Amino acid sequence: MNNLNFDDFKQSISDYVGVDASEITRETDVYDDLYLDSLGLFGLGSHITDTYKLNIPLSLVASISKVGEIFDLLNEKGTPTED
Amino acid sequence: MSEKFFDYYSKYAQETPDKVLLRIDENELTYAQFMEKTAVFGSAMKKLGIGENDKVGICMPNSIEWFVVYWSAVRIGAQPVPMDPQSGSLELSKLIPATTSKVMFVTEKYRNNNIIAAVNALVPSQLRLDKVICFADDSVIPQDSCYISADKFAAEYGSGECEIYEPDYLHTLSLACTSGSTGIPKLLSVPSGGFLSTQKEMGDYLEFKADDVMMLGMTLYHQGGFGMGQQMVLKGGTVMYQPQFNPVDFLETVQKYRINVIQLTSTLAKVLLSTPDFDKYDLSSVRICYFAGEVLPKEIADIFVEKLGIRVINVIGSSETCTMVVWDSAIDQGTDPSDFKKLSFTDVRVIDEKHNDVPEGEVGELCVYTDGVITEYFGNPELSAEKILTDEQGRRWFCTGDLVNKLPGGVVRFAGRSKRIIKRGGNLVHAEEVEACLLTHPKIAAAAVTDEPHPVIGQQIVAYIQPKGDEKITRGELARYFDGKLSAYKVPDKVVLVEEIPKDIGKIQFKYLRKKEYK
Repeated sequence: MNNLNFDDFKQSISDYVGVDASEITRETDVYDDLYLDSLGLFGLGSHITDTYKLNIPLSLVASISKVGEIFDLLNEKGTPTED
Repeated sequence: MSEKFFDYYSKYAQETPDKVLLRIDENELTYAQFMEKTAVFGSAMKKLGIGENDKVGICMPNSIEWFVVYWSAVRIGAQPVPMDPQSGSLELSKLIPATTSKVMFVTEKYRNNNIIAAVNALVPSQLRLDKVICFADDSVIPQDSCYISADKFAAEYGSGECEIYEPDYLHTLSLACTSGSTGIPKLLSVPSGGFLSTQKEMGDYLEFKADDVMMLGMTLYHQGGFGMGQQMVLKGGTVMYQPQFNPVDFLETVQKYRINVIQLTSTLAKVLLSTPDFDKYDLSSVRICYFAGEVLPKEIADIFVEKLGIRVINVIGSSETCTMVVWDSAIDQGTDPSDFKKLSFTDVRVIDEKHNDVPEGEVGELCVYTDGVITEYFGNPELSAEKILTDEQGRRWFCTGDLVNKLPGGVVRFAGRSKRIIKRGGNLVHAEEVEACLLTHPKIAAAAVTDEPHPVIGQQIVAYIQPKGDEKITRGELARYFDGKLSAYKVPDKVVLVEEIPKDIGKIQFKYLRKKEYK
C-alpha cells in the first residue's frame, strides 16, 4: 500500500487530461468522461508513473476504465521506479 | 475473368465445412456458415437494388457480422467500404458522400462512440442513403423508414441462393478509407486480382498452413489488419480478432487455442510484455510474430526472437500497397528491424523529388511495386497521378511518403515520414486535419499540431494553441469539443498555450514554437 491521497491524484489526472479536478470522482470513466481513447489511457499511465515515481503494469491499466480503479491500482500495486 | 477470393472460400467450405474460419471472442463462423450467410446478405442487397460497383458502407467494430457484410458485398460485385467505427459525424459527413455509398451497415456503438446517433445526425436530414441496416436492438433504431434492423433486412430481402460475381483482374474489390490531411478522406480502390495474389504470396512466404491459427491485434476495418488475416484464410486456416484489444485476454486466448501466428504493433507488444506473470503464459505454440503499423524497436524484437524463440516479421506496408518490404529475424537477425528488404513479389526504388533514383547512402522517398498497389484514389485523379506511377511494363508503383536511407545490398532503412503525419500507436494522424478542427473552435486564434516522442505509444499529438485574447483552453475542453466530430484518437494528448504561432510566408515555423510557450 502506497498511502496516496485521492485529492492529489485527482489533481494529477486533471493536469494531464485538462478536465477540472472538481469534476473528477472515483466513478469518472476515462473513456466517457475524460475523452481518452485506449492509447490516451496509456499516456495517462505514463504521466502518473512520472508524477508518483511508481510503476503500474500497462496491461492492467488496459483492462480498467474508472478513475477510482486506477487510483486503487497505483495505491496497491504501484512499485517504485528505478530512477 | 480471374482467380477470386470466393474460389478459395468455396473450396474450403467443401473440403472443411465445419472448420472455424473466424473467431471473435466466443463467436465463431465456419467456412460453411460463411458461404450460407454471405448468400443471405448478398441476395438481400441484390433485392434492394445493390449490384456491380455499388458502394456498401460498413461502420462496425470487429465482429462476425462485419466479415459477413464485407464478403456479401463482394459476392455480388459490389464494393464494401469499411469505415472506422470511431468516426464521428464530422468525419462521416465527408466520408459517406465521398464514397457514394448507397447503403450502410452499422452497429449501435463502439466504445464511447454512438455510431447510430452519428449516422442519424446526417441521414436522412442532410445525406441520403437507400437503407441503413442496423445490427442493434429495435429500441435504438431510428423510426425513419430508411433504418432497418439486420434481422428484418435478412428475413425480408434475403434468400439462400446468391450467385458469385466473377471479377476482372482490376475490378475494385473494396474501397479502403484513410483520412487525408485536409480531413477529406482518401479512398483506395483495392484491385481484386492484385490484392489476392499479393496476400497469397505473403502467406506462402510465411509458410502459413491450413491447420494454423492466427490471432490479430489490428482490426478488421484496418486494411492492413484485414489483409494480414486473409493471408491465413487463403490457406484455409483460422483467424481470430478481439472486439477490443485486451492484453490478458490476448495471452489467455493464445494459450487456450494454441495459436501459431500472432500479429501485433509495437504499442500492443509493450502492453503485452508488461502483463504481470507474462512469463507464466504458455506461448510455445507461437511460431511467428508479425509486426506492422509502427517502428519496431530492436529491444522488443530481441525479446520475441531471443527470449521467446519466435520468428519476428516486421513489415512496412501501407493500405495502398499491401505488404512492401520486410525485416525477417530468420534471415536478418542481428540487424536493426528498421532495415528492410524487398520480397520476391515486391520491388523498391528510392527516389528524389523528380522521381529519379537516389545514389546509395542517400535518403529519398520509398516507392514500391506490388501487384496489390491500388488502381486509384477513388474520385481524386490528381492525387492518383501524384502517388501512383506506372512503369513501361504497366506495373503500378506507389510513392509511400516514407523516407528511407538507401543502403548497400538492397537494404532500405526507415528514416521517417515526408509529410506531417503523426504515428500515434498504430494510427496515422494528419496534423493538418487536427489543426483544421482546432481552428473552428471559437476561442482559438491559431494552432499548430506536431508530434512528441512517447515511451509507450511512439508519438503523441501536441497542439500548440494561440488563444483569442486572454482565453484559457484546456485539453479537456478541446476533447469535449472534438467529441462526436472527430475520432477520439485524433484529440491532442497535450495542449500547450503559446503567445503566437510563429509563421514564415504562411508556413508554421515549428523550430521556434516551443520558445513561444506561456511561462
